[in-house]
This record gives sequence, C-alpha cells and structure tokens, in this order.
Amino acid sequence: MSEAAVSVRDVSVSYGESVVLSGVAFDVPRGEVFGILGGSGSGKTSLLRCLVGLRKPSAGDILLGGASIVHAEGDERLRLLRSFGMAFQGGALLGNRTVLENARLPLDELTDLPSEARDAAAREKLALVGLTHAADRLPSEISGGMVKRAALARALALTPGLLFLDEPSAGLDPITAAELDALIRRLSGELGVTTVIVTHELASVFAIVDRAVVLRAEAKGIVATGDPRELRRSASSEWVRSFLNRGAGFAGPGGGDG
Amino acid sequence: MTREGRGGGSGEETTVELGSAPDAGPVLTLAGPLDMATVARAWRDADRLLGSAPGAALDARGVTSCDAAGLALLDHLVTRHGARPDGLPAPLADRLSRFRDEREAAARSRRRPEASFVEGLGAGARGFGRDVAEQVAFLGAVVRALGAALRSPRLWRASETLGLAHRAGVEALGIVGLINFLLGLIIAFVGGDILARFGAQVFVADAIGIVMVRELGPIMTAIVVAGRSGSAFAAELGTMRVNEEVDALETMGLAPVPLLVLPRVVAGTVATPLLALYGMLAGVSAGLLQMSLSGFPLAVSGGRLLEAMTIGHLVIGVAKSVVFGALVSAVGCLRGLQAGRGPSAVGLAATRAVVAGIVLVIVADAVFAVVTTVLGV
Repeated sequence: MSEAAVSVRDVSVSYGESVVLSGVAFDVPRGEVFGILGGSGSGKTSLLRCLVGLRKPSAGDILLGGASIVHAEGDERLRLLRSFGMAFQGGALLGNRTVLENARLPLDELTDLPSEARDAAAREKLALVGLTHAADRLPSEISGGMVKRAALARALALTPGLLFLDEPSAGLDPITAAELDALIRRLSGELGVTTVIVTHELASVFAIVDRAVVLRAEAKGIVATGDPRELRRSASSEWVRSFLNRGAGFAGPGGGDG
Repeated sequence: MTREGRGGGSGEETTVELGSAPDAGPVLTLAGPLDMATVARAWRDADRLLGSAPGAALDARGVTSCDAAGLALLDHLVTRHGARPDGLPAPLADRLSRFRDEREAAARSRRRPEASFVEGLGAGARGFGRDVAEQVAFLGAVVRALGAALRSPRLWRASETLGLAHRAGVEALGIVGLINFLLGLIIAFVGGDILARFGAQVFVADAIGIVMVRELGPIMTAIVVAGRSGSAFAAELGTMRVNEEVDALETMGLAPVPLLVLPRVVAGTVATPLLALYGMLAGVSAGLLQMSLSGFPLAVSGGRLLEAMTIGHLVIGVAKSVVFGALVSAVGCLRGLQAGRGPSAVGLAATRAVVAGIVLVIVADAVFAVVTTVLGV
C-alpha cells in the first residue's frame, strides 16, 4: 500500500479560545520511526491525543492507514483504535492487575483466543521488553522504568502495525533508555512497525528517529520537518538548531520554548 | 528625629528615619540594604513613622541594595502613604516605575469580568442540565453493558464482581448493623414514650417494624453504602482517570463502562439489599429489646410485630434497597469517570459521589412513597 501510515491534514487544536496548534500537516510513511519534538507547552501531547482519537481537533483531519480517526464512529472507530498500540508517558497500567494481566488485557478483551494462547502471547511481549521476571508483580511494586516497559508490552499485545509512544524514555536511566531505543529500532526494522514518538529526549531522537517534526509554542505549529541529524546542522530556523543542540548558541529574548 | 534601625545580614544596617527638611516638609530617609531579610521590619517602622506624616518625601540615597521586596516597600510607601518618590536615585526610580507597571499589568490580567446574578443562574442551570444529560447517557451505557453481559456470561467478570461485592457488603456489616440497631433503639424509646401516654406502648412493635423495614432500614443502609462504597468507586475510577488508565483503555477500543462500571454497579446492587436485610433485622431487634426492657415478654412484642409486618412491607423495603444500591454505585462510578485532572480531582469526585448518592436515595425514596401511596400498597 502506498498510503501513509499516519496522515495529519491541517490540524488545529484549541482549548476554549486559546489556540495551541494551527494548520499542522505531515505524513508518516509506513515503517518509519517518526518523532514529534518540541518543548513543554508546544502542543506535542495535544497532537498525540488527537492522533490516538482521545481528542477531536478543532479543524482538520487525521488519517490512520487511510481512514479518518476524527470522523470514525462505532465499529469503524473501534477497528481503527485496535489497529495501533499506544504507550502512555506514565504507563497507565491498571493498578489492580499484575504486569502480565496488564499485558494480556487487550488479548483478553479483544480476542477469542483460548487462555493459554493469550498467556503465551502476552509473555512473549514481556520477554521482548525484558520483563519476564516481573510478570506477576503489581505496577506499584516495580520501578518507573519497568512500568514504562510494561506499558510498551501492552501496546504491543495485539502486534499492531502502528505504535504511538509518549515520552518512552523520559525518566529512565541511560542504559535502560538505550535498551528501549534499541528495542524500538528493532521493532521497526524487523517487524516493520511504524512508530510515532513524542519526546524531548534528544539522545533517543538522534539514536532512533528517521524523521521528525519540531513544534514550537510561539509558532503554534511546525517550525521544521526532516531528519533530526540534518536539522541539527542546517535547519533554517536558529531556534530549531538550538533546540536540537540542547540550547547551545541560542540566548536571545524569548529563546525558551514558551 | 525618630530613628529605627536593624542590622542587615551583611553587617550593614538598614535604617528608617523620619526627619524634616526646611523647604520640603517631612522626609523619610531609608538607608542600607532593602531586601527580604530587612523589609519586614522596615515596613512596620515606616508604617508607624508615616502614620503621622503623610505625603513625606522619600530619600533613598543611602539604600545600598534593593530586591523585589524592597521595591514592594517603596511602592507601598508611595501608594498607601502618599510618599513622594521624586528624591529617589534615577536607577531606583526607574525600577520602581517598572515594578508598578508590572504589578498593574498583573492585576489587569487577573481581573475577570464578573458574572451577573442572571448569568450565574443561567450557567448553573446549564451545568445542571448537562449533568442530568450525562447521567441519562451513563444510565443508557450501563443498561447496554448489562444487556451485553446477559447475552455473554464472560462479561460478568464474576471474580472481580464478587471481590467488589465483598468489599461493599461483607465489610460493611459492622457499621450497618450498629447504625440500624441504634436507630431502632432511638425510635423505640421515643415512640414508646409517646405511645405510653395513650396506654398503647405495645404498638411500638408495629412502628418499629414498619419504619425500619420499609423506610429507615433501606435508607440508612443506602447512605452507609454511599459513604463507603460510592465514594470508593469514585476514588478508584477518579484515580484511573487521573493516571490516564481510562484513556489507555479508550485507545485500546475498550469502553470503561462494561469493563469498570458494570462490575461495581452489579456488586453494589447485589450487596445493598442484603445489607439492608441485615440492617432491618438489627433495627427490629433493637425495638424488641426496648420492649422487653419495658416489661413486654417477647411472645407479646414478637406476636405484635409479626401481625403488623406484612410481606408487602418487606418486599417494598428490599425493592427500595435494590434501587438505592444501583443508584449509589452507578453515580459513584459516574463521578469517578467525570473526575478532572490534578491532585484535588479524586477527592472532589469522592465528595460529589457521596452527595449525589444521598440526594438520589432520598429522591428515589420520595418517588417510592408517591407510587406506593397511589397504588395503595
């Protein structure tokens, strides 16, 4: 199929009268690891909530595999929701279920596989993120990094072709973060999973992201699109170069991300 | 000359003095550092000194340093005491004028147009209407989930529901028993006192039977369930909302109502009537205890009770508590799902759940009263 895995068309997002994003447009080709970058308050999370159907944009359309998540209703919406996996920043694991039960949840609720098969499939995903040993523990009993990896395992439960990750490596130690980066890279390389990552962890960005859009609060939208390694050197906007170089060389007034 | 002083942190002394110049009248002289460490004292001193000398000129040439707190003091002297800032050194005067501009800008941006009474009334009515609409939509979703569960037994989530029913029911036995027992005792004592004047004390058994079984037993039990379980449901679902767990379920294409709400509503609806039966028993036995204390043998009081209590009263009492249990647990879940974001959201959701639960119970009881009166049962 030639159509993009994700196609964002002139999306605007506003809260009441305050406009957060205006006229945002980009395509994510299949198999790519795509980054949505930007500082705090730039609308990254709002955009992501629109992409996964938790929020309706105030204007524009979002297509997942060619079908609009914005306008889908009923069964079509359910089909779209089940076509991707999403890992939230804080994990969002169900607190009264074990790690294994959390990873198995989509299989339990959405498939009619026998219990042994659901268990095996969930354990396979836990092994993928290196959590086999923690399968029977509750989310409150494991570390923040493990919660994030468990959330990734749950997002992968149905082996989706499209993955949305909100700050997957934020708050992890460098080694765990690097392992997670390697895992994401492998998923996209071996399984062809399209991955959309919202992040401001630049180490991860340069390690795994093929292409990215950079959002800025003042612009209410995209200020740069492209390979972050190139943008870092040659983006036309000084702010973007500075953002990708950890603020080096940019000290003008209003230089923050707002 | 009045002089007030205090040693600053750096060894320099901050002084506030009121003097007078021959051609300019009173002069307030500030000297030394004006910062967070010294301003509190200087503020009090200046207030006292200027109380008797409004419109004094300010002399701040001796001020060695001045932070935001110091600027706030100078601003206060100018606006509150009418002190004249024309004697300030240029850099300080400049900073003071910027400070005042920023303060006024902040005050302007904080100011919101005040809503009139009519606007407030309209907004309140609209909010109430929206809430009612949400409750109706929620009820519909619960009924639909119930319908789906009737067709597919797996959706009952039996083990989860049993656990919730245990928490809502078995663990509440103590408090429900105690409250209904004491309530029965109170009614029996007060009622017995009044009825004794007419020589009709034996009818306490009638009163206690009908009141506890038909009215107060179900109501008090439902109020306890609202306080214990309605609030717990709201807090649990509110926490899940705050932690994005509900969002996570939605992105998986899982609706929160069948997954989270149905087990709780079923548990509440099953546990409440059982608790109410237990509460009725406690209340009635309290009545019988009071009667035996007043000298009625159990055969007399018990016989009277069985005669007065028809099966109809019991059926109505149990039917009520089924409805109360469903209402209290459903509104608890709804308030939890409606929780906003932020640290106070969960507490607020629990509070709203208890309030709405109790209101709904009383309203439903009134509806029952009207319906049973019209039907003559």
